Amino acid sequence: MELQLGLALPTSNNKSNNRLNFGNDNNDVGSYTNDEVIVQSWLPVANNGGGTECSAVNSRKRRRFIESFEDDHIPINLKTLPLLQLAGGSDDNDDNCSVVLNKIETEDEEEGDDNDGEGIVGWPPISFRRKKKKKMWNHRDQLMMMMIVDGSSPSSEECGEGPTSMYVKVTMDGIGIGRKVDLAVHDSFPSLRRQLFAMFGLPEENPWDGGAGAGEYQLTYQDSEGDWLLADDISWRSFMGSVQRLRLMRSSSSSGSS
Amino acid sequence: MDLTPKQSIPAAESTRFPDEVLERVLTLLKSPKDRNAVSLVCKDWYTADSWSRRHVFIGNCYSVSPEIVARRFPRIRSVTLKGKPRFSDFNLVPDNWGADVQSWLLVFASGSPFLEELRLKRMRVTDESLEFLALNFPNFRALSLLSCDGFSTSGLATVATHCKNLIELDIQENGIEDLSGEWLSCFPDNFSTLEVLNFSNLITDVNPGVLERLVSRCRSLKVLKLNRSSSLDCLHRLLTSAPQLTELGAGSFSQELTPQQHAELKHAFGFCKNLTVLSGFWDATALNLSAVYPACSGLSFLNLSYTALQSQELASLLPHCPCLRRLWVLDSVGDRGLEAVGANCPSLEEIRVFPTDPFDEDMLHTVTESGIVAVSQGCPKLHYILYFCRQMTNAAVATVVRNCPDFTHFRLCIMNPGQPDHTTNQPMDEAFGAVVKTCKKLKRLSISGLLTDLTFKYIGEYAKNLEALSVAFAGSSDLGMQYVMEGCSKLKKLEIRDCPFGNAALLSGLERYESMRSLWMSACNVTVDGCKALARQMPRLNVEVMKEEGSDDCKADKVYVYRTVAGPRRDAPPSVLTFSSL
Repeated sequence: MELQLGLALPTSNNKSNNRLNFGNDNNDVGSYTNDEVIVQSWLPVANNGGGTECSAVNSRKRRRFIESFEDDHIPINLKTLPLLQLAGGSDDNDDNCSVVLNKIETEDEEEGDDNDGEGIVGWPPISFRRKKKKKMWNHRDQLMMMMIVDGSSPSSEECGEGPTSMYVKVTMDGIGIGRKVDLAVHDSFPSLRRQLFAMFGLPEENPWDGGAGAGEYQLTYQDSEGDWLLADDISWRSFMGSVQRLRLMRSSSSSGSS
Repeated sequence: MDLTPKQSIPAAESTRFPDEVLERVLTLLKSPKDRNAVSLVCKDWYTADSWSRRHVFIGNCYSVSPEIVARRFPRIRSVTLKGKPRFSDFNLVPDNWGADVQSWLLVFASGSPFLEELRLKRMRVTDESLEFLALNFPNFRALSLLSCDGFSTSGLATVATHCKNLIELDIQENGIEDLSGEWLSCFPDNFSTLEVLNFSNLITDVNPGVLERLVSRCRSLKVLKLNRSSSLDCLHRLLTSAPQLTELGAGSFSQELTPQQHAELKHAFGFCKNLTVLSGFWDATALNLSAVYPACSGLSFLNLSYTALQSQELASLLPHCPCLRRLWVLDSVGDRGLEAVGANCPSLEEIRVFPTDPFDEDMLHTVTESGIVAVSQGCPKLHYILYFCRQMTNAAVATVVRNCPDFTHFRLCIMNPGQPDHTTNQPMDEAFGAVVKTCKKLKRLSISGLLTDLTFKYIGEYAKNLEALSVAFAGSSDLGMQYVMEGCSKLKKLEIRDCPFGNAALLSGLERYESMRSLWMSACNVTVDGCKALARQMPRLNVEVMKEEGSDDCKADKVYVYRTVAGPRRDAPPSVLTFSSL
């Protein structure tokens, strides 16, 4: 019995139709024989709802692909191929095939990770998301530790149990007492600087642009690896992701990231 | 789309089952494998299966197109889709590689708008897609996102706002842009259908009051997994209002409790008689953990992989969990902790030991071969192991599989690449030889350490049920891969990195690839010409090559080969070349 299943098995020895027009409007496409191997760097198709036209075209072309599948070129000793299965059976991670909803097994983590400067990319195989979460939380823990060490008794707001507080310690050269500032209320360096001005009583007209050396003080920060860097060297977002504490350095004594 | 195939079947054959009866019988078959077998029997059964299939599992989203799926299964309610190659978890796949779910949603919205469940793994999901999902599928009720990326908490907010019948929201290990915890407040005040809520992946705080009210409204809530910023006070209140929970992911467990608070928490845990799964417990202290003991008597799965317990803490906890079948821990528990596992968990079937500090090579407190042997001695039912360690011996592995011959999943990661047996300085070939010779049911194997082609010879010769193999920094020549391709007839997934396998090895799998889901080879010796040759000979495979910056033109840095009925994909970024003989 011949099964017309509409999948990729050849329906007949269709020797004549070896050629296939394939592609969409955005690529230049010709027709290909089975002998040609075409390098196709498909341009990303605009991801819009205009898939309807595309898909009609595609299904037409896909049908031809199926029909024109030519098994003459397959080595004779190839066994009959199992019908390609849409449902691949047991999830490699899911031992509980019988679970009706086929829950995706949680945490198939074995691996992966971003190269933190540790030699081999993606090794050991630990999911980078697992590791990244740990890093982000270490940062937050450090903040809380600093506040506790500081001597003040943190209220729950200060501890960051409110929505998005992010207190860091700020010291300024020449002033003995450090302060704390909530970075979460700022979205840019100028905004942060304005608050620091006010905190430390620097006059507004102080030409402190924080970077080029024209001002008296430079804003520096310590990142998660312990290095002191100029705050202006990175974007606000990166800054927020790694800042541990701040220091207003007098320009004359600073040398960048000392 | 032709929606009336039934009319084309000749009617009135008295010996035939009525279609309705056949479909009714088929709905009792849930397993995709059974369903697939059914669909191959004859055309009538194929049709009946098509019309009655409610769930479809697609292991590689590019192996088929959404149009084909929608055409074949016009009435599906539940779809599971997996996208990127697994090595994307290790940052080996470019961010914009593909696997965007949007094209699937578009097709389903027009053909199968009654979709109820969507489970995605390693797919790209944007906020726009989540919004589209929430607005276009009125019966939608279950969303599970594992290791996906491209969305933010705003997308979750639209799901919470619009999916009136949501019973499951499961967000795990995703590359999510975590803007705020406001999404939780988007569930309507009268919303009460939730049964599964997992937001353990999220960093930002949710409003505890909102959470507590939601939990007390949802009387059917069975699974609740909190994120790290959820406090113990909040947990206490939640447990009190939801003692029916079967799975709990606690939040942070480091808060200092007064004796009164501790007693109250312990009391609350005591009410939770139905708990079978516990996880979370970030930064747990030993004292706080003891509050959990009353809930552990029925526990089958304990996930402690987010808290660095010491051996004594684990040893104190385990006697309270006599029914434990699955245990995940960090290697901070050390060999002593694993000895406690062997001593207290006779029913244990699965153990996973993750590294606390994968990159700190000076770590003293990790696990060694003694630990894994101790577990195997006490847990004869063990069949799943994932073990990260810094040293191993052939003899230890042989002992382990002698104690536990029923392994189905054996994943050993010796973290220093190419490291030999530390007592004999020999390759680890005999270790994995012992595994494949002894464990006849082995389905999944990950190998590591110093390995020659002999390991692969063993695998090809003995691992006849092997379906998934992961290889890194192993092998001596093309022969290694050839042994596997020739011998492992049930192989479905093969992942290889940093091995000396070249074009001959790649092409040795010619007869195998169409029965496999995929092959990944990175940092091997395969060239672009080899990939072209493969594509030329196998039209039903997509052969993708990802080039790295600055590499030779002829080198195929990363190769991803998979079978497909959908032809070459059109959404690959410029850095991914697709070879096809179409």
